[in-house]
Amino acid sequence: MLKDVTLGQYFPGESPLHRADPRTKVVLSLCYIIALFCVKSALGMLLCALTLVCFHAASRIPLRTVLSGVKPILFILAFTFLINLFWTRGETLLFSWKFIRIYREGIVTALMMAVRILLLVTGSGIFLTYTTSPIMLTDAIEQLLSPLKKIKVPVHDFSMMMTIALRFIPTLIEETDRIMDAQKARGASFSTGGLIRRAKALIPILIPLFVCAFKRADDLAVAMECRCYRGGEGRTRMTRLRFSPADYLMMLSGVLLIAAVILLNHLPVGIAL
Amino acid sequence: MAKIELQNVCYTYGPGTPYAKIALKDVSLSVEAGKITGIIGHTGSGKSTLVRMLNGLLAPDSGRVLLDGVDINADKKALASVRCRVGLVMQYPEYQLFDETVEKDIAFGPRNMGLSSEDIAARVREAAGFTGLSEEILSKSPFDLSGGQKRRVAIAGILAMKPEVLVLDEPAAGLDPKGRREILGGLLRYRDTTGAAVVIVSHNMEDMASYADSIVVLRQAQTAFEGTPAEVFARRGELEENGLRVPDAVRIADKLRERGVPVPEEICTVEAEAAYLAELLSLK
Repeated sequence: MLKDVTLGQYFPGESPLHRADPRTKVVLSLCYIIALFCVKSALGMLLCALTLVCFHAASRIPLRTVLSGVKPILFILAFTFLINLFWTRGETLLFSWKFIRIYREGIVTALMMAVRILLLVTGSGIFLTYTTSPIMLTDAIEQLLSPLKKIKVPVHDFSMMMTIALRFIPTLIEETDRIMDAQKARGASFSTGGLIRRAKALIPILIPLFVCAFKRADDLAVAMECRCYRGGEGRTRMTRLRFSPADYLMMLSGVLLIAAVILLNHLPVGIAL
Repeated sequence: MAKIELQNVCYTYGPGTPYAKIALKDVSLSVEAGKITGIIGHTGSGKSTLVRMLNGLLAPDSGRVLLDGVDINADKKALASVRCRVGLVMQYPEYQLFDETVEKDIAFGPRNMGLSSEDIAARVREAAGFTGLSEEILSKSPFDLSGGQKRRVAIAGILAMKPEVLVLDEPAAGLDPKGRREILGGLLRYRDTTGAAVVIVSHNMEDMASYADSIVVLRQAQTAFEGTPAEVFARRGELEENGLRVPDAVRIADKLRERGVPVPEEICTVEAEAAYLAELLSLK
């Protein structure tokens, strides 16, 4: 079933991380990503991993859900690991057979890269997508980017488009499921036959799906106009975002993480690699 | 023996997630060939899940679905043939139309069954006859039709497969009274010609009173009670607690009984009531 696909899905709950201001979480994720790319020491990487473990505990999201988000990138993870393992040249040759040469530096780089990607994916899930509803997320992005309005970037329009797109993804998935069921009830089969037959079998799904999507877009435009929507100018909000002391603390921890990572890169205790 | 039967069927959507929702809990149901079974229930009572069980679109978590005594989920490869024998018309079926002409769209089902082209053409004509579609409409694009006509085309698409069990989820929702009567009348003719078992999900109690042989009431994923329309509508209080209402004719009969007119309990359609009252008045 299409419904089983987890693409960075919101996981409703009541935790400090769920309650935090979405802008805080965007800033925190940015800090985390920057920190991950600055890391050059084993201790720094360990610190990043520990930070994530702490925030994961605070988010109260089942570990299984977080790990299920890693599944789609397992291939990329393995691929980067192997590429780095075989193609990194260094000084200490550990193993060589025919044209294959593995250096100590290669193992280290491959491991660092794999852990970096792993932390990146699980981190953005915990900081953002699992704990923030898509609507909150677009609100936060709109507000964080609002200074760009000064140079005539249509920030509001973009965020409205993003909100609508996100809002309708589940609807479209549901719609696809429904149409697939309806055509299956008429004896259609989507998993048998050769490539051309399978492609042809998609026609009875895609045409009704497009017809519905266009009709829905049209209806939505009319409904918005009926409620006097005229873009972002002078528009007020029902829920106003406010930072709490906890938010400042979280953002501070993000900045401190970057500082600590950079410090560890240059200190001998950081075990530079 | 029952044509199609549900035995202690349970189903939960999204088990193990915060979105988990029990849709059916220990539901049993049996439908006889040649009979019309109505299913009524409040929104979210599990009606749409139940109809998806009948042709194997959903498999129950526990319990069995039997077609002529054979468990349809026992052999997953046979499900395609089960779906040809159990025709399912989903809610708002007009959204599933896709082909260039009405004729081709109705022929989609029979074509998937691998029939010969003469056979398909004959079935399309027959199905169009049941749903009252004229020859002229058959060559039009389904997207040029009115909502009511699209609905007929979609239903004809299932009837053309000549299912032994016909399942319809709100077949007449959103149509005007004339369109309702014509579509439901067509379904009656199909039942009479083929002897098929028919299951209709509906919110329209008047339709249920006039067409159904028996009615099953679903409440919060479970069967609340069942019986003939007269038996079910006699439990007015329980129905209203479930957010359902009884047909107007039953309500009028209740009021008449309060004032001492002995209207029999089994009257639950306007026609029967009018005939009864006319006779009563002519006797006076």
